[in-house]
Amino acid sequence: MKLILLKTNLVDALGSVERAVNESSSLPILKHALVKTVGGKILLVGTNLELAIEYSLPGKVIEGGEIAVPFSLFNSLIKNLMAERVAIEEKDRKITITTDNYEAVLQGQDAAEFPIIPSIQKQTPPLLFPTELFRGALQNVIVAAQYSDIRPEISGVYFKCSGRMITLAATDGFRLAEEKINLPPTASSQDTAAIIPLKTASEALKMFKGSEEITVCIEPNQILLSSPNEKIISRLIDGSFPEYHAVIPHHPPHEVTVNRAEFINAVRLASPFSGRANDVIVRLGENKKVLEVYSVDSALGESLYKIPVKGKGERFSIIFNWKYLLDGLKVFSGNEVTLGVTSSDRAVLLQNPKEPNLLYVVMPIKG
Amino acid sequence: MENNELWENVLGDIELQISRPNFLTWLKHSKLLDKNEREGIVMVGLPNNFAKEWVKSRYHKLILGSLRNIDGSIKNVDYTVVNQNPLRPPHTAAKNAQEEASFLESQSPLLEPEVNPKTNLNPRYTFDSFVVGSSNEIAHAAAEAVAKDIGKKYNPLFVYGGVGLGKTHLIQAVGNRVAARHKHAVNVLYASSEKFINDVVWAVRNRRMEDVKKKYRDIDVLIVDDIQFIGGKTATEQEFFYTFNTLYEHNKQIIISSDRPPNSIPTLEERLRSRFEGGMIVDVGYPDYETRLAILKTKARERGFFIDDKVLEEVAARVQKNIRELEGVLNKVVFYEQCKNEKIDEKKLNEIISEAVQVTPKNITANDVVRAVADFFEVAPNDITNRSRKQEVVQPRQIAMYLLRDMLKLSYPHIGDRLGKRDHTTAIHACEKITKECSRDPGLNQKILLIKERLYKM
Repeated sequence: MKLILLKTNLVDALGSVERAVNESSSLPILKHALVKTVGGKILLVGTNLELAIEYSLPGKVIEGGEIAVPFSLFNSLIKNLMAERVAIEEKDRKITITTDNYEAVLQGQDAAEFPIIPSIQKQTPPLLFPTELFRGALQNVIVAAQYSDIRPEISGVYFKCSGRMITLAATDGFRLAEEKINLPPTASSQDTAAIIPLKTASEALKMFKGSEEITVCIEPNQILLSSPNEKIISRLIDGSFPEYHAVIPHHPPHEVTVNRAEFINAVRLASPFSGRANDVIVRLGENKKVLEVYSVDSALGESLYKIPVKGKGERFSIIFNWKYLLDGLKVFSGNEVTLGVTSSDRAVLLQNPKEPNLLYVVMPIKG
Repeated sequence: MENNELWENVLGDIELQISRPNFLTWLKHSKLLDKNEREGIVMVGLPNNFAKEWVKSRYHKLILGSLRNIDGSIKNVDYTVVNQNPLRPPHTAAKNAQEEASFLESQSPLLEPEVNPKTNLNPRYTFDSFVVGSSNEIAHAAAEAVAKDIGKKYNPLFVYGGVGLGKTHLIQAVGNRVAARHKHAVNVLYASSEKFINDVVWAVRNRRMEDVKKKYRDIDVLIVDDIQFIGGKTATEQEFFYTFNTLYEHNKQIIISSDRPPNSIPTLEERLRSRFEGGMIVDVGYPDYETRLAILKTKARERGFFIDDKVLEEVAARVQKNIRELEGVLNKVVFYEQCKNEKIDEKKLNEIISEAVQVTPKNITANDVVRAVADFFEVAPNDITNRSRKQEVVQPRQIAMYLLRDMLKLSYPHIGDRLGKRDHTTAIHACEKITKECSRDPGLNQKILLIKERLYKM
């Protein structure tokens, strides 16, 4: 095998594949990445057996072939090179990296030892839609997800496509985030649902930076997300995502709208005074004109922040875990956020009238 | 050889031939799922697609060879993916657990956990979701009365009935109602009798009887499911007796369920039996057609499915004996309609129902049947198989004949011959009589179901 590559392209590829390579694996071959040529294309592949990332990078193929390279050594060598172009040649499992004034030889492993990446049958037509919509929604809902030993079915992001609407949702049992994406008429869709493991979802967020469209294929136990030059294949979580629609409050009786940035600031200021349960109190005062964010610690002192409100509502006082509240406030992007309150022991709905497809539900702390 | 044992042998063999990391990565979590004896194909389950692809391409020959060494009839191996656990970020898990523990107490959950860890009650079992029909209305009324007025009205409340008829639902509904009404003021505890036995065994072994005493005697409503299992376990029975007395004396409510009335639990100690009989004994019987239909409709609605009334009527008419079976059939129907997007036609429905209803008994012999019947009625097996005409063996013998015909499909002459060298017409008469009485007398139906139940467990 003989290749000539631009260093920057190779660094991008290594950065992407790095996420799938597990340096602490007990199986030595998993500390390697596979470099191979398919036609005139160069592929870099890494896997930890739970997910695999495949990156296709531009370069000149003088002679085809495939070889498994020790990932972390290769990665650090390439990163530190000053040259613009890098030549990589493989002969008898010896990999030679050459630039104008540098040469390194690494011991590679037989490519046949490298795990076979499961193929996607593409029996169902893939979903195709704009990357930014997908990444944006994924970023918004993923804050509510958390790995759970006891409840594997919520340790991921729920992905559902029905008609021309994609729903992403995540919950850790205490809060819930959901965003719906209306597919543009150009996108293709297929009714399907899956639970994407948290790790896969968070890796996918960091990928696909330059691409405009993303393809999603879902099979009974695996998922493929791909752009023209990047692919991530992962297994899915077995199980059924909870029927969460019942916990979303519909038309809560008290709705108050406040400035989002101020609310965030208020929660941040109150947080140092919160106790072990991260508890801060959010209450609508007597005159119903200001929302108070209050917390008190007998040793440290107390903090009170007042934010003017718009909207209808009776007096209420709710205790929140400020981390959950803050996460929720941050998923929105508009200037305002609406707090929908039923009572002090019922779920609270956060919404922004200007972002109707996004919602965040958080459960209060018992008083 | 058992599948598990076979696979363990194969793994032991392969472990010697490949490197340890390879074995741990690819084969450690494999399972032998199924062995098709007829075609000689073995199905192996692997934890993920990577393992599936790799094992298929690298270790197939090794596995097949090793399998064939042990069992020559095996011709091929197939692979599939099972047991998809979530990806686990190891470093964060510990921290999360700690974090979770610190606020779990106060943070209300958004999605209620399935079982309440304190009371052990499943929140799904409520009075609202309990369908009342003629077969269970007395039990239901008694349960509601108890929930309203704990410890006073009917104490203990003893609910008995066949498998899958709603005993657990009913007694947990009482617990849930009480817990909801009195919140933290009243301690409710639901325990299966197995749990109780385990606690006592643990306490005896660790000399911590005081802990168990405290746990069970600090309770306002104690609900014990399937009490028949404590019969014959002397230490447990004794402990239960003391617990019972303590609670009873303090006017605490006790609710007990069993698969038969207290006087037919043969191994139960006399003093416990008389305690149970001192309260209210109610039975849950087989639901009639209307109740079954109502149950199906409720279940379908609960889950938000819309199913043709005709289909539900057919299911209710055909599945008669057990509500759990009813639910199973409903689930299958829903599965076909929702997942496969197939409209259920008559043929498909027939298939589903007969699949669910006919559990083919494995390896049950005529002797097993006779023994189970004799056991159940507490008569000697010989009495059933000889020509005795004692009154107490007449019905057991007829039931045995019925079961031999119904479950094993033996011929009438054979059945007659086996049970006391009788004529085949006697066997025919017995089967017809039992069939007829079954539809009339729910008690008999229940006895037969219990015997079958025992046979399946053997």
